Amino acid sequence: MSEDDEDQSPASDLRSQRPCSPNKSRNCISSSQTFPDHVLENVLENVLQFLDSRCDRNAASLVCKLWWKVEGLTRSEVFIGNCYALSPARLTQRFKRVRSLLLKGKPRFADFNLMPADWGANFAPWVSTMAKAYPWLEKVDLKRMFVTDDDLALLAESFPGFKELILVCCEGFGTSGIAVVANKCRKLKVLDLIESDVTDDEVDWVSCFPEDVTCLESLAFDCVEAPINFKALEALVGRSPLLRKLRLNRFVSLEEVHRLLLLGAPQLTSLGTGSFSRGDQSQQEPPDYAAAFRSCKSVVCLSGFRELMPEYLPAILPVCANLTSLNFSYANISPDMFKPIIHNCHKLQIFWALDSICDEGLQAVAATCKELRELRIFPFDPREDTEGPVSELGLQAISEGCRKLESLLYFCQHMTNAALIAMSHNCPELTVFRLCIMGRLRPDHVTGKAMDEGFGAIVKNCKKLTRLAVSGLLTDQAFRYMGEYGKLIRTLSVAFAGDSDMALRHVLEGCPRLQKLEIRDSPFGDVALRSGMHRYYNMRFVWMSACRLTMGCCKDVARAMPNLVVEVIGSDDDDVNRDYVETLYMYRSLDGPRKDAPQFVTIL
Amino acid sequence: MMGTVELNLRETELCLGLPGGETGAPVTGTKRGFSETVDLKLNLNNEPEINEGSKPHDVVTSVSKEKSSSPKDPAKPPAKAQVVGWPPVRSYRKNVMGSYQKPSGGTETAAFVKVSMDGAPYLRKVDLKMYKSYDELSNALSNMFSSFTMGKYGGEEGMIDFMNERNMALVTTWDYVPSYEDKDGDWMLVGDVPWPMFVDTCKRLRLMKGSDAIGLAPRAMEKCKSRA
Repeated sequence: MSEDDEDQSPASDLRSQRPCSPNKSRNCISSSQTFPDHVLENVLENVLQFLDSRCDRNAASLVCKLWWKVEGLTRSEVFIGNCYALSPARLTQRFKRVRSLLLKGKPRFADFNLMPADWGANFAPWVSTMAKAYPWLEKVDLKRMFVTDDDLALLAESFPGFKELILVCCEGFGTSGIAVVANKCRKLKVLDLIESDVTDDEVDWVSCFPEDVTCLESLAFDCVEAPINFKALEALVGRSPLLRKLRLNRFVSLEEVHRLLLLGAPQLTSLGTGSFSRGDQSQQEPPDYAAAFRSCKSVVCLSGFRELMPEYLPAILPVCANLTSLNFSYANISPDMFKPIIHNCHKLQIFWALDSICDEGLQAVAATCKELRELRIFPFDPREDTEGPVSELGLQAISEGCRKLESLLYFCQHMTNAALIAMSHNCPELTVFRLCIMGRLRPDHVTGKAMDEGFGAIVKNCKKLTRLAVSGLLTDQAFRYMGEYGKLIRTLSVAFAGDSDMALRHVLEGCPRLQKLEIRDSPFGDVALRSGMHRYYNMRFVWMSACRLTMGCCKDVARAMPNLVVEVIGSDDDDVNRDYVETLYMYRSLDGPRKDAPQFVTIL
Repeated sequence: MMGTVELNLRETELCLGLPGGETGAPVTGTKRGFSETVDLKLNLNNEPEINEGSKPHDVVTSVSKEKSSSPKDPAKPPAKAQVVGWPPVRSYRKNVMGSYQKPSGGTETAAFVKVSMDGAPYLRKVDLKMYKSYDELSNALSNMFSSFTMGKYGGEEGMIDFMNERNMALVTTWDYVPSYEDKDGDWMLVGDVPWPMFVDTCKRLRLMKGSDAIGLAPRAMEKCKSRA
């Protein structure tokens, strides 16, 4: 599960490197007067190769030129938070021996149709450059990138030792691309397709895996909206002795899951159950599903339930006591169905569900899941005017029962400041707090006041908070709190909030660690934008849509900050001289504006 | 170099309309009132400048450009149209949820109903949504209960062919009459209403022995006479 799983380390690797200060280089030179340079390099290489963390490596590369060079030779995992922050050529020049690449493309608000489809974030230039430079590439992890079947084919052909392909929220490819990867990457350990849009090319990709024993450890295809050849899948599981994680799509029925579990249950640690409904109704005696789950002695992570038949849900009871992660977020489960299940999940740390479990269900979670670290409640009916089965009652219960909570995503219709204040006191470990009150501009539904005090308490008392998403009726005061107390906040999402430019100014003049700022439909204009100019180089990106920005101001910012790419996104018939800015997306870049911008993007 | 920019707040003020001079109700203050935001209607016909309404992202971007000053607005209560991308649920997830929700508001769960046959030692359950017509249901039931009807008429002949009008006249001579309990708790004869309506309203099925079904059968007899 990785809906917006953001890592904790700061910005992307490749800041422009200034030459080191004279004192430092003198020190380096003096030490190398004792030993020849290449000896020192070798020593450094052997030492630096033990450095894993990105922050440590970034720091090491700033020591002096020698360290910069050697670090570049020894870094094997590269993380690029914005694919347009640099060109593929720069990557291959700086780092020579990359084995693993994590690349992120479109900004997150693109997920919500706030940006036209073909904006960019193409994987093609990356794969073609790396094909020549990194023959030993093993792992590619992409998020919100546009990947074509041709890209996948090139990947499969160019990297003989390729082991891990992870595509999260990607699109542009289909089952034919997957088939090529399955067929040609003989060392493939991980093939994870997560919440990606995979077109059904009617290719039997499961049959394309090689005939002999595979190295597969993880196979996730729950997002693939295409039927699969079950016999081939069964055979594949049978010849994949290392398989630990298997996430099936909704075209796999309960009976089929049952058969797969009989094959490989004891080794599986993570299971996506597919549809969780019977395919074949006419059978008199359904197989003993509970027995199949009983044999899943190692399963700690359970998901799927895409077309749940609730009467079979109790079959999972045998594994509940071991579960650390449970994803019910595609299953419309009522509280009565839910409570007997959750009652057994004492070890649960990650729980995703639909709001159909109601406040009652959340109370049951609070009563049982004392180890809960992450909770995500999604709306079954994602509209503004619905009743809303979860509210501040559920949140209050969770805050009282799950004191170790670190990450929260909660969709609701109504909320109160009191519940947020309570949570801020009860859950000091919170690092991610994302509350979406679905009705826009809704105040505290008990007191009628704005939600300022509630969110203020969260930023004030949750001292480890790094990610915040706000909603409901918010005045500038809420933003004053954020600026003053949000010392560690790296990501901030704002929608339909604030009264004036001052709100955004509070944030831009406070929040020292702010990296990612996404704002929509809020009354922030040029004054606010200008107030942040001292820090845009230290941020990964700023997104502002349907605010009050003018073209003139954006042009000024672009002129003043040459290493900042300022994109104005509108519709095709927009006149460049038009003053209103629909969407502003700006980010730092080492290699200037991109060359693949579509017509509706104007780079200032 | 930035130079001095006269902060013309009025110009930067967000009006729900096209930039470049918009007459109409003056928008006082910078705080957007609630009613302004709810007036975000997708009203492409009013937008003279958006001439190709076919492009989806034009629809997207036109939401916030809606005129607030159009004279026809004040009388109507603000219709709360769905704003693009709100609530912020990924389109992938929205599509999956959307397929769960039928227009009738029901979910994609099965429609299991108990089926009892008079004289049979136990009940069965069928999922009505597995079948598309009375014929299919009839076949399925006859398969299910074939072992019980060997007695008198044996095999399939003992079961009722629901929609076969030719047989409706013989209903009183048959062993079993298919009846169902509807939402109101009434026992009805199977076959009267269109299939989808039947699936929605049927709570329970009962295959009644012919002698008990006299109360129901005359209805069928009348129907046959009116059809004949």
